[in-house]
Amino acid sequence: MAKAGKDVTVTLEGLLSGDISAAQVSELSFEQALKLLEEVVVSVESGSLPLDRAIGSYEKGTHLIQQLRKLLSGAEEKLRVLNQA
Amino acid sequence: MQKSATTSQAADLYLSVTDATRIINDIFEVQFPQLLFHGEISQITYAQSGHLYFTVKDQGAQLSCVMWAGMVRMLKCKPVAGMAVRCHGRPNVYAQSGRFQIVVNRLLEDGEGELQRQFLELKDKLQREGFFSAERKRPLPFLPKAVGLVTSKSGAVLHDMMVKIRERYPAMVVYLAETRVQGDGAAQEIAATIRRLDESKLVDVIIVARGGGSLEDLWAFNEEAVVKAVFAASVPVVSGVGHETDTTLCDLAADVRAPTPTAAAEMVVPKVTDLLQRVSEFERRLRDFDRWLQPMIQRIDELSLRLDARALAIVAEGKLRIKAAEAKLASIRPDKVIELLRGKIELFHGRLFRTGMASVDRLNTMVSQFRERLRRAIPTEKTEKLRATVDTLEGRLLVGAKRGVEDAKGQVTSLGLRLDSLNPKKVLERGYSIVRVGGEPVRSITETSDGDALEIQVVDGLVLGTVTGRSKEK
Repeated sequence: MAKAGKDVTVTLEGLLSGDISAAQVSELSFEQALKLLEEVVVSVESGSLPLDRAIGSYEKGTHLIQQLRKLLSGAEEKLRVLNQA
Repeated sequence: MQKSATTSQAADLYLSVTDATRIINDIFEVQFPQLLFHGEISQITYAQSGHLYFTVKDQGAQLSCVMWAGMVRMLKCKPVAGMAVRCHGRPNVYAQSGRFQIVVNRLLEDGEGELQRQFLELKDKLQREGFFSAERKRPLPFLPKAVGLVTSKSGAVLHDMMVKIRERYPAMVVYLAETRVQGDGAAQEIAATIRRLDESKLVDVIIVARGGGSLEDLWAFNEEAVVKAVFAASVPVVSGVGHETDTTLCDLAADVRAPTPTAAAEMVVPKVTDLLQRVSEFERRLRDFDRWLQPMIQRIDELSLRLDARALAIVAEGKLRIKAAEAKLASIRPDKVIELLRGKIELFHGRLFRTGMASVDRLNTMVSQFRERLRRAIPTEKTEKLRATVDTLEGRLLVGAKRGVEDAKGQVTSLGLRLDSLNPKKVLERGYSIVRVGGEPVRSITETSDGDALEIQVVDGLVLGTVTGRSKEK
């Protein structure tokens, strides 16, 4: 199905523990990144995280926002014609 | 000359277009006042005016038909594309466009049309084989990395879709896989194009699109080859074929059915502004956290500063105290301490002694005070007064008692006198006597019998006698 990000399973846990590299984050699909961002926001808002982790989450959240913005930016129309086989 | 004659002759021979049309219509009207024909409806339009425009066809030909609104309202069936019908109507050339048409005044359904029957048969078969099953439908990617379009390059469809995509998400990558969408072999070509696009692995969603048309125009999308290719695709397929009212088998096999090609584009490509809004919303919520966090950090800094200051103050104070204590300690000498203690003991002893003495004194004082109070409570004047009272009372008692005795004496004398008067001796002195028999006074004659000894007492002694008789009264 959707091949984008198929091989990378990214969890909030992995993101915060640093198991997931910045390069892997940049490989995330928009949906994955948005879902992660939501998890980050919700966990930060819940107030249940220890402060150091909340701050870590906050930083990751801002990185995700940058990533998402990058994915959404770009104005060129990209129509490509598939070559005949 | 010749030419001018021809021209004038021509002017007479040739009819105006309007006249020609009128003549044709006149002939139609005479020859075919009522034309009866049957065929299959294709391409039907319900106009705003209520008129119904449609085509009736068979393998070899087709007739344009119109049915006026008044007649349409009286129809017992609802004509749709693919319906086999029997029609009554009159041929007519529509003067404004020169279009030949049948003005139908009666329309009857004539069982199912051939294409419609084929469609239903294939639909049933594919349904049984599970090509349309709901469980198989896959969700669309949230934001595709690239969209594949399977459609014709000619026509407005591609353009309309690209406009829609560009408007929603300018940076969206779109791959066009061009194919014919109608005509012989179109179905096979569409199927092959879907497979090729899928195998390229360039896209994560495919849109199969075609603009509106008649049942025949859309027929390729009802063929098994297309259905199978759609079904086999490894990425979700959205079908946007024809208008909303057209349902093709390709629509049924697709993961998502869109009413039109542009609707398909809308479904597949999200609006970048919506996405940005969501990101911004999350960003705002994260900022809220930051807005809470920053003052928190400031407060922590502030507290830690205060803590430091307090700690320093305590340490400084402690040092001072230790120094003072050391100084004191250094100044103390043992002999002086003993002396000091002795002095204190003596002082204490003295206090103890004084306390004892004071207690005895206090008791003495208390006793004498008590005595004084007792003395004062019962004074001598009071006793004198009491004694006087007693004397008076005694006097009064004696006087009272004497008078009582005199009175008693008087009474005794008077009683004695009264007693004296009752003395029987006095009565005897007055001449009365007492007669006794056997010592008992005689009160009645019955108490006596003849011969009884009588004792008659008189004042100076006894007279003795004997009873000799008696009588009552005298």
